[in-house]
Amino acid sequence: MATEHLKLNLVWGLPIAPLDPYSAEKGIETINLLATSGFVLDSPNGWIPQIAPVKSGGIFADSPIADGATLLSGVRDNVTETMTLITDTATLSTRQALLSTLNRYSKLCEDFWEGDTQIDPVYLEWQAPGSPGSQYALVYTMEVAEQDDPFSEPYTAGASRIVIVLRREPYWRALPPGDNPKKWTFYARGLTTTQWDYNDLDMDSLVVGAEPSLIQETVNNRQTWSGGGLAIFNPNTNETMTADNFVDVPAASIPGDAPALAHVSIQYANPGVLGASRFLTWVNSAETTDRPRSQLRDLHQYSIVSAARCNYDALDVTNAADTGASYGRRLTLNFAVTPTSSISRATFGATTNFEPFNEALWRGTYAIFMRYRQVGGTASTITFSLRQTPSIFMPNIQVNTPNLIAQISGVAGNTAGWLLGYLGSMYIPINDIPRASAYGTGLENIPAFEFSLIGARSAGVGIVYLNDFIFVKVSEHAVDLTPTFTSSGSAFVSDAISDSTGYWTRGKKSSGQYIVNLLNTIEVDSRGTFIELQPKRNNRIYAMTVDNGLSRATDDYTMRVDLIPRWSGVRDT
Amino acid sequence: MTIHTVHIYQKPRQGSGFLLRTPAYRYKHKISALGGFDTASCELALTFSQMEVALEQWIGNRVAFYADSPLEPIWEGLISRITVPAGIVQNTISLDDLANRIRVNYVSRGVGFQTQITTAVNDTASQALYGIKEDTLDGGSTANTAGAAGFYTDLGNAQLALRAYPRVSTSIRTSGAKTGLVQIECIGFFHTLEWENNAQGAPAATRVPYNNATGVIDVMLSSLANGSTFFDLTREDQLTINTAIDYPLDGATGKSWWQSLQQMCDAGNGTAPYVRYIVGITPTDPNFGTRALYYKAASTTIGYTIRTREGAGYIRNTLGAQIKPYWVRPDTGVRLNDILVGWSGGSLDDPREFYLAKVDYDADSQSVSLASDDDISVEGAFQLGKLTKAYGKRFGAPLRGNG
Repeated sequence: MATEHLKLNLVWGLPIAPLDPYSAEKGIETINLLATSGFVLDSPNGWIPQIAPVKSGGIFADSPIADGATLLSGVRDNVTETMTLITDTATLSTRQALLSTLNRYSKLCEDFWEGDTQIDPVYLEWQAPGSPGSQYALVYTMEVAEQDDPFSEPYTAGASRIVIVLRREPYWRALPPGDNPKKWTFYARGLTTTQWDYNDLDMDSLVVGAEPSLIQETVNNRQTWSGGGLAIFNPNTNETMTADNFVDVPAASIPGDAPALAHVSIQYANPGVLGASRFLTWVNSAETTDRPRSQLRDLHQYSIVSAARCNYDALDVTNAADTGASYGRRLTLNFAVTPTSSISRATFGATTNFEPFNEALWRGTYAIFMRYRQVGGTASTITFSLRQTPSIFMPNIQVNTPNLIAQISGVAGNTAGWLLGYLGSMYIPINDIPRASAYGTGLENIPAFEFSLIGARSAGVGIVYLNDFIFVKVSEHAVDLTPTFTSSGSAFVSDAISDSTGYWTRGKKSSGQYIVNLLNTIEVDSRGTFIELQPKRNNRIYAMTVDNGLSRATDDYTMRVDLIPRWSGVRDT
Repeated sequence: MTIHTVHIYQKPRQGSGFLLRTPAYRYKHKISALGGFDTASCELALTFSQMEVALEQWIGNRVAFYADSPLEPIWEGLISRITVPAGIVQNTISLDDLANRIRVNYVSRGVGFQTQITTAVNDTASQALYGIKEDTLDGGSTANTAGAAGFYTDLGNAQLALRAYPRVSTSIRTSGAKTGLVQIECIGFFHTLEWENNAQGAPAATRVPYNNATGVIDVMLSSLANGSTFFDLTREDQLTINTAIDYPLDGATGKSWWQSLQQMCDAGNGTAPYVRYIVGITPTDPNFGTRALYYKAASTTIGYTIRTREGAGYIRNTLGAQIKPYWVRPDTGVRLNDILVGWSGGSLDDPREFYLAKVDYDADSQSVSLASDDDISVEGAFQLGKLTKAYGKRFGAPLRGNG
């Protein structure tokens, strides 16, 4: 009998939520692979858990005229493992019944989401000695082979050996594949299974008093700092953030050694009144340094930059009051009567003080947006692009986003609705060579980094209001949920969800979901990669919403994050 | 590397509704300076019922492939071919032979060898699904002018009955053939300009390429039967005025609009120093949500650098930053940085630099194949409509009509 494992089960199905009187789940069926009678894992070494290998050894860029090769991509393959079981039964029929069950599970693995009826996962549940709890892995295939003569007597221990070759997913999860990620939240809070029930599993704040998510905070559709809307932004004055569009998931909340799966959702404060028809969410897990903020410009200061706090070209630009803008102020670009050339209209970054720029936090590809309204003039006559100048000491080294052609929004005056205009994508900084210090001290932070908004008008007059610039990091994980229906009336969107845990799709694949009218879920067009969190690192998850074509800077909503940690080997938390 | 996903939408004639997102395996794409998104292919892991839905309903649907950025697809177009394996049987449905508007071109020897073209016959139900896809048949010549038009019209009707809807071909495969994955092949939106003929009638008229009034492109935008189905005809922000050449726009030849545009681009800007021009369909603008026709001078600046000592997956910008292979785009210059260092050939063509006319990307190997327009191995179909084909290698049939 194997003694090196505390628990080893083959499980079919997802557990019914505790005390749920109306569950539609069929519940779980289990084959205990450590049973004293029935199947027993051979000992020792009846099963040696493997670590997922790099698929095909990796994809390399190779040249016949150069030494070595450069790794382009290395991802993990499924794990193939062998288990040797020994049956211990009194009769042949008992033994064959056990084997038939094993074969049935083998078929269930193969049929999972291949047809339309078998939608319950088959997975391994394993607890190693010294591990604090069970860990789970979806099994894709399981082949069963008998090594001994099945008809030989006696049918007792050692009489028959069965070998299973199974292929499972690369990483172990803290929960069964497709299970509700809030269960990990309860565990992380130290709650026992008697201290929560099906009411606490609520994903949508439908149940008053339900246990909240791991991270559950009110976030804003803007970023503001304690300085006023007239002051040019300069964090050297030690401003504090007064409104933000992100939540932090601290390193201590993300155990494991493989990217954690994440369920990220937002819900508007007044469901039934407002709704999100587009939800952008992205993550940044870049490491920070220990240098004080007063000495360093970091990403958090610039993921959203208010236009009202930029330097601006006083010829055509004014800083005006606007109750619908962040800080209650906007920049107004009033182009002159004659067509105007492309010049810088607003700048932000390390301007006069040459503050160092934290390249480590910024490094990556960013989709850059601008919230604006064109309230006068002719459509398609005003174009903008964003210019990156890595150092104002070398102004000829620049890169621009493609042109954004401004659209007439039809909304004038002070209002919170802004068009979310996509300026383009840009790698920041524009070359990917880390800056090394001439003093020999290794990595160096970049001084005098600057962004400029270049604007031009080709004909007629034009007035554009600017609220802010938004930097969405797309080179880590970013997803854009864009339904093709309008959020209103009976199709009112209350929640927008980015889910990589598989809860909404029964472990099959990631999905983006909208909850419509507080109850009905619908899969929507979800572009990009769903949020996963780097383990044992601080991860910051951002959000930006659009409601039927307009992004309101004054919106607040609840952002929830639950996660499922993963391990390559034995679970340690 | 980021997983590539395919997003499948309704047929453009029917709407823009989202249907399905699923991982794209064995993904490849081709993007051309002349045209834009050209072709793409991948394999999908679908359930049995999804396979049947794919075979029945997805042909002609819009697709977009996404990688890391959720804002811009790496490729988009229409599904033109679907192959569904079912054991030893393989079903393939394709748009290739689809024609729901047919004319017949013939030469009337009795009227001084004049080229005639019949009035189009249409299947409007098919057009309401797939858009208008036209074919002009070659009826040869006849001395019987009296009954010729009637006969050729009957010919067109007969072919219309056969070809108005995509046809499914069934093949029986030998053992060992791959099973389980549905293969889809896609075409870029510019290919829909091959679906309509330049039916401007005779006599031939010369027009400038584009002057925002009466040019060739102006005429095309105002007369495309598919309207704004595949791109926004009202968007002219990607068009460059060019009045330096006079193109003989002749509608009596059965030539498609795409062939006419290709020919027109071969003349470039029409004045010294000669600059090549390109035409095609832009990607969907994330702000407008629409595509537009572009007609502009080809880029003459260097955008990418490569090194012979690095593999096919390493493309860099001019500052040395690596470009992900699925983001490499044509219509830019490419420079080899580690050969002929210090070369100075005067007026000779610099062998270190070339104009990137076509990009082939393969996801499984994370590599891109770069082709310049003087690459004689460029596939024949790319040059089919060009007046000036690469020397030494000709491919395919000559231009239809007065080429």
